[in-house]
Amino acid sequence: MSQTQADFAAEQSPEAQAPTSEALPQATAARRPWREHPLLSPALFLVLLLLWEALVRIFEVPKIVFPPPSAVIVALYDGIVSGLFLPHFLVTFYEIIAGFFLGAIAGISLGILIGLSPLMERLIYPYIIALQAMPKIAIAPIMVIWFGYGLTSKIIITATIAFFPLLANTIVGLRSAPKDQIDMLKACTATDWQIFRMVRLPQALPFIFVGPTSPSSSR
Amino acid sequence: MPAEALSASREAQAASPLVRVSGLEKVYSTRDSGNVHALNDINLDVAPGEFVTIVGPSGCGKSTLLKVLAGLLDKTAGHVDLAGHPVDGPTRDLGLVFQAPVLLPWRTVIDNVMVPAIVQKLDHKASRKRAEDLLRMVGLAAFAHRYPGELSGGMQQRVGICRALVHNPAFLLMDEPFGALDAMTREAMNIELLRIWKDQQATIMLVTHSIPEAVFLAERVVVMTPRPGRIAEIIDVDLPRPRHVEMFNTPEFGTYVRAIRRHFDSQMELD
Repeated sequence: MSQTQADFAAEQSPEAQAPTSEALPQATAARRPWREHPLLSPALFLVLLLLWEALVRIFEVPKIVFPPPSAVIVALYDGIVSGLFLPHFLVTFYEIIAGFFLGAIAGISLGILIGLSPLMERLIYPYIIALQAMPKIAIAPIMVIWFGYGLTSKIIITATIAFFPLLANTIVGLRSAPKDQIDMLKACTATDWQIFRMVRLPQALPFIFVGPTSPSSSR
Repeated sequence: MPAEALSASREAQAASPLVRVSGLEKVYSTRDSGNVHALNDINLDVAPGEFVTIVGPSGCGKSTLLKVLAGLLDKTAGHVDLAGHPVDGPTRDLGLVFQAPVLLPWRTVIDNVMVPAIVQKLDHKASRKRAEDLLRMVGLAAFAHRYPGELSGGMQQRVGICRALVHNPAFLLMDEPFGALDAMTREAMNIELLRIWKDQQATIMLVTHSIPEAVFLAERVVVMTPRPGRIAEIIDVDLPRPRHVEMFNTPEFGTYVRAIRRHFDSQMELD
């Protein structure tokens, strides 16, 4: 009600309104549509949780088949308090970090090799793309057979997932250096290494870290 | 303009030219349109300390000529000597200015100017001093620690010129360095460039598509025509120095401009 009044007032002719500097932000705040409210998405989450809880209770679904959110929260709390989750969390965390770094080192160094050498690109890039097309989940069992049930198999699988986006971004990034910048360095007798260090690598860094181009989304 | 007589006297005076180009040919082979004859029988000597401009319409091979001189492009045939040595790649004693400033955006202004000095591993302290002096000369001392993105186009281009000078090259090649600037900035940059030329005692070859600019800056104007790119005429410019903006309006200046423009008018009629 007050919102519509504000809207109505704001539509009056500006001379008649003569808004003061304090009145102006209030008017814009009142006019902000509900669909731009910052708590909109969290509110949806809450509504869905309540719906889930209600449906499970109304239809008396057994906990073992589909536990309600309340049971999940209790179980999560128990697991944390009893100290059951922490060591497992640390193991998984370690697997992710180690796997990512392994994949990153392999991806970036191979990316540099391919990005700088057209020969290497022709030689090995087709096979890397072919391997990338294979779903990682499909080869997970083989990884377990090769590397066992321990940390190694999980680290290797994580590494293969992290590998390709970083490889592709490194290649694209190294190729993104404008020809003029390279010519400028060449003209003052820069070596290939100097061109790499002063132009190609700095140009590639945003691609490697953020991956703004399409290859990164091909995961 | 008795151009033939003047270039004859010039040949006699250029006993040991800094640049000697003879019979230069450059053919690009492209996949779809066959071979493109970019440069055809280019003969040109440039004396030490000379200011030569190359003028011509787009596609007359003037940028190609500069790239060959800079050692960035291989020639197809002919000879290109720089200070008595055949050019077979980039040389240390050469500064190159591009049409765009081509600054590295992640380096500050002074670090951009320092690039040739770092590449050539020159004494860091002395080079930095020189970089600061050059920036002061072009009125950018206060911007030394800013990033290129914070500067206007004209300021960036001045940084590019400082960079081309920081390693104290004897030979400066400029490829339409002011083409992207507005007319006012361009005039100011022309005056500044003449001052730099006098201060640094460098040899400058500057490519432009502006006939008045070519006349205003040069001691000699090389007129090039396209398809294939060849030298139509070399015109000595006998205007007094130092040159002033008011000269653009003098009858002598107009005579030179008309003499050059004639080449392109006849070209158009042929088309």
